[in-house]
Amino acid sequence: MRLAAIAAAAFASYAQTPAFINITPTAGIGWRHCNGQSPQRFLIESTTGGVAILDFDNDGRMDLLFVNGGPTPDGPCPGGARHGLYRNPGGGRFVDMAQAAGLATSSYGMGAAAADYDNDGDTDVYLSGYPSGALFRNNGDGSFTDVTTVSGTANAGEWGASAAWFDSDNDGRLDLFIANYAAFSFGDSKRCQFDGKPVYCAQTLYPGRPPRLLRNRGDGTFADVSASAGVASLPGRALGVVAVDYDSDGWQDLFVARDASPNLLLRNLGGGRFEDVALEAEVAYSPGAVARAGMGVDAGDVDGDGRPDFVVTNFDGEYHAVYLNPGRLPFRETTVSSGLAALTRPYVGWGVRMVDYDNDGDLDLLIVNGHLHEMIERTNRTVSYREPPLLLVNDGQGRFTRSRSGGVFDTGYLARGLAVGDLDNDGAVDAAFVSLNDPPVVLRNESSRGNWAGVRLRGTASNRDGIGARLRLRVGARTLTRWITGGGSFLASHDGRVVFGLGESAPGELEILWPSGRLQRVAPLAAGRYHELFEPANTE
Amino acid sequence: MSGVLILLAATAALAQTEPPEAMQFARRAYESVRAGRSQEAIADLRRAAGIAPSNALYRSALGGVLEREGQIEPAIEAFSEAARLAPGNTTILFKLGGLRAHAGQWEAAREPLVQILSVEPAHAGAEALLETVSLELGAVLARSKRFRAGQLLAQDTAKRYPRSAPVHVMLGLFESRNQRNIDAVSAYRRAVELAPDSEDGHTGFAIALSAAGMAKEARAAFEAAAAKFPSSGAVRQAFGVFLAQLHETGEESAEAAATMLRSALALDPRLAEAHYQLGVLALSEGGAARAAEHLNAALAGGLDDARVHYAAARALRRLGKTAEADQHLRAFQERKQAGEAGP
Repeated sequence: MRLAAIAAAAFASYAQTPAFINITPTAGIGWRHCNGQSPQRFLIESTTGGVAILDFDNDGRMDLLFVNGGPTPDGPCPGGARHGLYRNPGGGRFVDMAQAAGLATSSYGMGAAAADYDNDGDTDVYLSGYPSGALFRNNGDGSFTDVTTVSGTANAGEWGASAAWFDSDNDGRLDLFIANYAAFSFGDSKRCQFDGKPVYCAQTLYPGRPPRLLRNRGDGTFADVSASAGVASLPGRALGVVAVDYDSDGWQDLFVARDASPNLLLRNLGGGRFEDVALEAEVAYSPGAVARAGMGVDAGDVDGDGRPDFVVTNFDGEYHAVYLNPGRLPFRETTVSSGLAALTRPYVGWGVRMVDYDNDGDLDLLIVNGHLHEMIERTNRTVSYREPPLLLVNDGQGRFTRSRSGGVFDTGYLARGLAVGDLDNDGAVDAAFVSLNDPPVVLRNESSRGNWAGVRLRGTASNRDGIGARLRLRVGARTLTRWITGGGSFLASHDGRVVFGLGESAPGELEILWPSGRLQRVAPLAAGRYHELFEPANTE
Repeated sequence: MSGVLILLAATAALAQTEPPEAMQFARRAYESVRAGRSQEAIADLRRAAGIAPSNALYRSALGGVLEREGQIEPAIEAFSEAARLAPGNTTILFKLGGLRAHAGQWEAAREPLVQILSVEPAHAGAEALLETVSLELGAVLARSKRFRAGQLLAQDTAKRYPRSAPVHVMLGLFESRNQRNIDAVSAYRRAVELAPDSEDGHTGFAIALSAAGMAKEARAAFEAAAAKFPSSGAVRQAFGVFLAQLHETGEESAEAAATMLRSALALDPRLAEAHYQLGVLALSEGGAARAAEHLNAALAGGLDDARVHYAAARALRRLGKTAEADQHLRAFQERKQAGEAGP
């Protein structure tokens, strides 16, 4: 074969290689989501389906947690509605541990937030839901204890959506922020139809609720500080939340994505107080002054300037939004110039995560979509009920193009929660998402070509997971900046490790700014493996 | 002889079964009206109606006299009672429908007219009045954002008036407002077929195609409308809005949208939406001063909604005019809190 033909064949082969492969059918995962879809079409049915990638058994391999919705008064779940907890023994197979682990709730389930809230070295789990959430303390032996009542984390009476662990007051303990959605009851009499068929009523018929902030006292209990923190006076239909120090003042801030309510950008003033600066930041509304249907949100440096930017998923026709952080307010919305408007116009987006899927050093976007109006195709020729996920490739300047890698990305889902993490410890970040009333989709990353170096932080003065830490790695002439965020995406929790994509380069010095304020410099790391780094006793 | 007198004459000649005293009052009322003593007639007819409470004609006559005296609400009340007593009397029903329409009670006016047509489908007067009343009611429902009620009204009216272009424009409007975009396309298409010279029909058709995700067809429809109505600024304004949307998704240049909007303003400088759109385009390209000019023009043109104040606040902040920006931000929040949902 002539050289040109060989090259063409090789290129064709590469072009057809899917970036991610759905391994659920072969991974031993039998769990299936159930939203209890009812003739009444309770709105909550359309928003459930959480997922977490976590190492619950501390064996160094990431496990999977899927959060089920549950039955509704007239919408049964014939196959049951338990949550799914799968241990990862390696080899691409997973083992169902839900029953043995004791991770069961009686509420209608929404999302998951996993972190070591008691700093004892293992990962605990908060499950949001309605009419209450539940906190499970990890016993360290692969099982959990429900400590909801004693900890004071029930969030009783609320429809809790995404939740985020973060250290709101820099005391080294993780606090819990719960994005509450709306006033709701299964006794709700609202009914809506389209051509005589039941459909979900508009969210604006449901009054929004304020979020809740629970401060970790460090003794296994939490104090509800929502009022004193200034968040109890901010009602709205909150769905997504991410914690990151956007203004580099040493305090963790929060971006809250809200559905037809203005988004919140809660600047942490210190002293346990937050101020909403979303209006000033121009992230509350669209440029057309519309409070968009914000679902998921994530933070990361998409334009390589070292500051955390935000991406928010919205409804079809609204575009998923990108907000670049210029280091002062307002943010610069680049939804149109980044290409996201064109790429996301037909989609109702939910989970979103900035992830360097090909380890070239740029944060790409993994977004899952899915409509909630079964009749949508009767109203718009370009919008579908089941929608494909999007893999949007960053050019390094915050401009995106769609990777058409086939398979999952050409298949329609009713996706909701999306989590990312390296399931096989190969440095190529994998993902998992939940689709309403379907089996989950676990995606193995097949595309990574660049070098990589991974880091797992272990806080000492800071929280043990290092949530809130900023990491800066020199890679050739570039500096890659990453944060260990709290929350992010929708109803999801992620692998807490950071993978730096290095392209063809080798890693240089790593600088870690811990939530405690300690600065740590680490000599160049070996590429191709994970490194466990402990917080030093003092700034180095 | 006036309608009132005819009615009174008929009343006075009622069957012998009526109480004689009531008939006496009715006859006297007839004479009073002839003599121009309306108040006495009204009093006598009230007495007659009190004595014979199931007599529709006494109430109908009373309604007629009240109407002649300009007492519209009491007249409506009297005719309503008469219609209740004689639900098959199309004369009374038509009078009631007409009076309610005269009073701007569009929703209530429809009921007796629909009732007439159910018993007398060829009643030309009721048919014509019902169409007018339905269109007026549609306008009220659209202004008050009662889109679901408007859609039901429009669907019913379109069935009754399958050859009415204005009715199909109304149907298209409500289908659009209820996000039934493909049905809206059908409605507007029918409107244009029925009235090829309808500017509203053509513009609505193009907008509906755009909302239904049929961008290529929408562009063709806008181009056709712009060619057909070359002196219409409104058509070019709508076309410009469409092009600005295409610009957002990279399918058109900002300059093309701006050119179209400017051409709309050249035809009609009062088009506030065109100013707003030009302001937003300028703002997105860093032209804060130009944006502020257009946004002020939009406000001056009466487009005093949340969108304009929000954009003005953003533009003025970029110009360092923070006090003015804050004023607009307050105005924006006031309008949001007042329930203005925006576009």
